[in-house]
Amino acid sequence: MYGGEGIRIGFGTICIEIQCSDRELLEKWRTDYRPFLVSQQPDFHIEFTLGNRLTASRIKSRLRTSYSYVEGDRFFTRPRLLEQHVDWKTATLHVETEKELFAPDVDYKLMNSLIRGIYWGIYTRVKNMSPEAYLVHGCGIVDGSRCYLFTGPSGSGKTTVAGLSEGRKVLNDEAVLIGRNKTGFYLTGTPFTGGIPDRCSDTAPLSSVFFLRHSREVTLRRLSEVETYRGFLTQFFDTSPLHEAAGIDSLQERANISAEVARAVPSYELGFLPSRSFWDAVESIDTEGVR
Amino acid sequence: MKTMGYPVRDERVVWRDIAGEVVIAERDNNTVHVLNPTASLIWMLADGTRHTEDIGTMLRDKYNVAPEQASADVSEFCRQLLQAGIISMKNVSSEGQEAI
Repeated sequence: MYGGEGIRIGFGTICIEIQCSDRELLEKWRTDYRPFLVSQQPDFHIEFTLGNRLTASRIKSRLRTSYSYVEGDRFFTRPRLLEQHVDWKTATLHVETEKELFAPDVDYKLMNSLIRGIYWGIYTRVKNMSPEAYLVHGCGIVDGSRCYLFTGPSGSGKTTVAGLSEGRKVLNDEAVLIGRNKTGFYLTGTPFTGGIPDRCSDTAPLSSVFFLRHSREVTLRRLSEVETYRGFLTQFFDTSPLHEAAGIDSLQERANISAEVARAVPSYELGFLPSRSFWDAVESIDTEGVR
Repeated sequence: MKTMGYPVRDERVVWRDIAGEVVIAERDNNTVHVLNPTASLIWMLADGTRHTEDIGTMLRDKYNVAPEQASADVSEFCRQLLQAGIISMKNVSSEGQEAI
């Protein structure tokens, strides 16, 4: 039995317990994931065994030259930097790595990729069902009674939008969960780190989707269903290998959600520049109605 | 007119009729095709049971275009989709293959 202390983080309807014998690192994660700390029964466990063989600079150098390998449920790098093995029966991921991999200046987003993979794994390998909500590239903002998704590829401005959203709740600036219930689509905050530190675990009904585009002035254009469908379809995190292993056709599911979003949620192309002025355009939708 | 055959949609692609336009997503390379209304109709009829000549006739009736134009549209569209690898052609005669 693993003896490390742990924290439990929850988002959507799942809970992941992270155990680690290194108290300093555990305290860092406790701070990083504060809005997502829960006490519910975990669906999955990550057990970290950390070494101190390598300095941060040595790790940086290895990251540049290492290769990743997958053998069944085992994942490892050569030169040796990370070794992990998942046991789906006990819903546990054993990770052996170096503590300095989590040093701020190394900035290797291991936790993000672990949590993302485990989110899908919990559904496809532990619960044997399709996820209740899907992870999409996007910045989710709750503004009073409205909830907006700003989406687009890396570099399109999602983190910038989050940083210009003072007085509003940021669900996450990079990836949020989108799901549907009887009343329509909703967004849920996620614990992924790397962008702005303020994010929350709230869930809110989705009001509008904005596809970001850099511009010299703020512009807003209502998108057709086809434009929305085509744009949205490419915003999902690709989870095909995990889904196919569970016999789930993830592309069909992504197409279904995208088609429903295109039909049900007003979507716009938002040309914006890094200033709060884009909020005037976004909020004008509420006062002028659907354009 | 040269015979092409019976076009069949690739089962691996994912497609949806979105507000009257067909959008096709390829599975392996994230490519998305948006078809115009004419191409959308041809795509929806390409289920392996209809000959390209029959599809041309249906296109002619729906859009009231000249038979030669309808046949040319079907041939050109099928040629493009064959090149993209998202349809196949059943029972293509040697004469038809030359036409492609």
